[in-house]
Amino acid sequence: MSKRVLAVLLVVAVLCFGGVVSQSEAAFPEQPITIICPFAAGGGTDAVARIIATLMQNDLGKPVNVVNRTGGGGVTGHQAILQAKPDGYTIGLGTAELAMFHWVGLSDIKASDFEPIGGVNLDSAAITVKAGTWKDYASLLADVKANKGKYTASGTVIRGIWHLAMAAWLVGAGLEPDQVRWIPLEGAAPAQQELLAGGIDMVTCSLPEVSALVNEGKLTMLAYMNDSRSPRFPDVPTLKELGVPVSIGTWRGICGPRGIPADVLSVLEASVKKAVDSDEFKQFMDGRGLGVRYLSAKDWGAFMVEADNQFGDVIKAAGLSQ
Amino acid sequence: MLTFENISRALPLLLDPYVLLVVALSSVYGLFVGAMPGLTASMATALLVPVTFFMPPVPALAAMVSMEAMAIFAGDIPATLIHIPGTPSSAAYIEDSYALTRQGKASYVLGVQLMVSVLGGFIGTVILVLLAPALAEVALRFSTYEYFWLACFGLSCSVMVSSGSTSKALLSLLIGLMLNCVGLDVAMGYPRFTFGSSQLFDGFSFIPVMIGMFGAAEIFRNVLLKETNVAPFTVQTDNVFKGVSAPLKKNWRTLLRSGVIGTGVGVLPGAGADIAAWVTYGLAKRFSKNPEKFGKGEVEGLVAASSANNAALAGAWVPALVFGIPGDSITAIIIGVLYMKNLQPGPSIFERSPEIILAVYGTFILANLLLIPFGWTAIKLASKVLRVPRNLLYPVILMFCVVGAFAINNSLFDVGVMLVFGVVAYVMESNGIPVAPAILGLVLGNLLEKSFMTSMMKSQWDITAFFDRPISVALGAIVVLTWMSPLFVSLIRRRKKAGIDNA
Amino acid sequence: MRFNDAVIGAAVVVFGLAVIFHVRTYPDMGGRMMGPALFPTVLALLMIVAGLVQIRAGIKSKEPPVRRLPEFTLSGAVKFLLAAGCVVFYIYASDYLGFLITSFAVMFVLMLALRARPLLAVLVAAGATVCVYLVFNKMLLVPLPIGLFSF
Repeated sequence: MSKRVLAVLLVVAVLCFGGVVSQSEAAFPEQPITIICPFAAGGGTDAVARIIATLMQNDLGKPVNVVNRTGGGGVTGHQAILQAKPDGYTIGLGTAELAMFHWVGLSDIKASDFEPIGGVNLDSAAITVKAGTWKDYASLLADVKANKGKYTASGTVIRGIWHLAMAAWLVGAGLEPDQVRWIPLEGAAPAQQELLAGGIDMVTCSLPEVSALVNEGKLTMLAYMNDSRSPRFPDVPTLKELGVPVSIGTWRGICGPRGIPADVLSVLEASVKKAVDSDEFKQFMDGRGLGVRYLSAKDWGAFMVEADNQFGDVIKAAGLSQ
Repeated sequence: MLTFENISRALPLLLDPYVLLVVALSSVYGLFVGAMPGLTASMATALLVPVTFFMPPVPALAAMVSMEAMAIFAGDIPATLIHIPGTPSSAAYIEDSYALTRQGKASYVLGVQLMVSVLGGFIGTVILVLLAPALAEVALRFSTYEYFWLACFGLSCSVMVSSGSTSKALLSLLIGLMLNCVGLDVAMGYPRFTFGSSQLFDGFSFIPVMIGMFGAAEIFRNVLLKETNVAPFTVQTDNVFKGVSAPLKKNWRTLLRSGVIGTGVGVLPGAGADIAAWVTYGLAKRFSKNPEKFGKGEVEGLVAASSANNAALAGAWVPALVFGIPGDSITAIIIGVLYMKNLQPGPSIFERSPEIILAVYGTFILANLLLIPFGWTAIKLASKVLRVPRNLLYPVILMFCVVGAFAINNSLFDVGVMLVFGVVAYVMESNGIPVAPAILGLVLGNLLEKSFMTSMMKSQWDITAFFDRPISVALGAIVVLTWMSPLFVSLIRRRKKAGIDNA
Repeated sequence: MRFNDAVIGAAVVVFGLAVIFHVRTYPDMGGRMMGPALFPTVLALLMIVAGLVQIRAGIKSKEPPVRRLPEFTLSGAVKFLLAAGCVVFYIYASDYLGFLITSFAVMFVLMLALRARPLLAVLVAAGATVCVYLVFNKMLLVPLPIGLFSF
């Protein structure tokens, strides 16, 4: 029996030792920071989170760890960011999905719930077809107009960002949002596979995602859904030039729960800015085919709310809400 | 591509001491991660990305190649020793390897798995080196119609992978397929069976379910015994490689077939090492002379599946290199690294940077060679686990199940999932319902429903679309024949029997 | 616990019917084509067929509805419940107590229940806890709950 008592004492001793370590006032950060990534390890969002974490760690001198909280198509992770203690030690990488959940009825989360810290990335959609099918946007539009429901498009799951991009394009061009049928696939890679295999007619995922096969001449990019042309493909016209004022894409940025102290926020904002401005970040993002776009906390907060409204308009117009 | 000049430029890149050091370190890391339940090879690769960022292209890619080769083999170690698959690819043949462990043949069976993993890896590498561009062209002809037939074919293995009552195996398969329906549906994004919980939008995570059904259930089974046997398992103390060559010689046809098919499955985007293992295991049972022994410690199935999952790794590089389309979740990350190192994937990559691609091929061979000594050491160290008295071992394994289930999504919800499925699997098994078909249903159910629903959406519910395309027709015919063949076989047997009776 | 196949079959049939009842409310895809409900419905129908097959086999076998497995004992059942209870305890307590304390407690209690010598159990449970913590938390960066105490 005495051995069991010994065991209990051991536990108690350990507990006391843990309690003694007190928190003293010092400059932020004095312990490791966690960045919550709402998508699985290995994806694009995860890659961005990890490179930002590495660069912030170099800057702040404390470990910055990435924690993947996956599930619920991103709902779980974004929820975890909102539910974190607002002390600045747990922040997250928010993605465009956070401005969609509440419109499609998956969650109550909306853009204005988050404390913006800094926008880091923006990638606009592009309309891409298999080489040898349509040679320009005008001929595609004419065929789409004349044959309602004949053509199919993909790029992500149902009501995902690229589905919204297609709907926004069609509505902007004065057509019905289901003029082209959306085929749900799990991302840009399977969508391009289907496109090449002849299973679908076009993809509307982001420009960098299709750039490899466009460069190889297997796919043709017809239009870019941004206000200005991409330096990567200067010959591809924007939808705006083609008479459809639609600019839509996916974006990512660092955010946290509301209520983080102002001095902590300013340290984090400066560190994110420094990371995004660094050559390493630009090189990394360029390599992964992702667009760098820094926005200050204030600008990013406004941008998120604006995007939230845009998604809401598209989702309502396309009848995609539940 | 395979010219003397290119090879002579690739060799120094590969044999650079820095590269060799990176290969050795990432091999140890891969063995470690693969052997830990709940930590997958793709997770480990993702953790490597920030590290490889600061490396030149060859060591960066070499790190990933050697890590994945080691991790997939290492998944066999906990599967064999403690009945928990280290990676999902080891689930197909876990019943056989664990049965052999209980017969005291742990290090023999691990030795066999090690050697066939190495050989499977070689087969995959050879095919990758010789046929990459041609295979990639074929893979890109696969649309959802072809994937649907592939999933059907995989499912037809379910009855083959289980031992015992066929009707109960089918029931188990249906349970697995039904579990897959939980979460947002593919066609409309409608939340099914989630009962208001956003945790379930993506359905049950596969890894916690698998750890529960194999690992936790095994612990429950054992603690329920009258007096938990405190004596350790008997472990044979022979050399790991003793007696390994006999099953290799005997099953070389199975090995070769599984290596080739495993590579083929790996080439297809959306089907990776885990599906390769199930399919080849099922085929081995179909072609085997003693299928009734499968699931009870038959080496042949183990040879087939354990070589196929390593072969699939190299296969997955084919579409990744040639078209930038990932063959599995690991190559999805590797494509990112290729871009980062200014090596745009595409058919022209072989002309643009032949020496780097050849050096990467070289690391495949190097990693598989290194697998022999490294794997041997790992087996030696890990087998000591079995010397621990079981009343100390089981609580520790239970904690591994808990942490492994937690690690995949960092969520305590998944620990609960693990527990529930541990109990479910215990109840199923004690009532003669095998667990393996349910796991197969979970692996393939998503592919099956996704490919069916998207095909129907594309063709606007015209079923004939499944027979419109040449590859699709061929695959469909194979599936239908596989399903019909037991009928023919039993007919022929009946005829023969009738003939004998008459005589 | 081993149930007669008929009992299992009946449970499966009831489950299949419940699924069909539940998915009736799912939206269709327009044009009267079934959407999200299609696969669950087909699977449920197949399950009902499989259940009926089990019921037939069970009635034929003439076994009692529930049989105690030969190896089943009361103390075994207690240990089973304890193991399951330990996992439940971990789920609810680890966020507050932290991984180190919860994991140690779970392993220690289970080892005692399996009749390990107490001192040995303390040592192994503590050692295993620290090892798991170092490997998963420190090396592989899995954020195990910190709770009251960690290092």
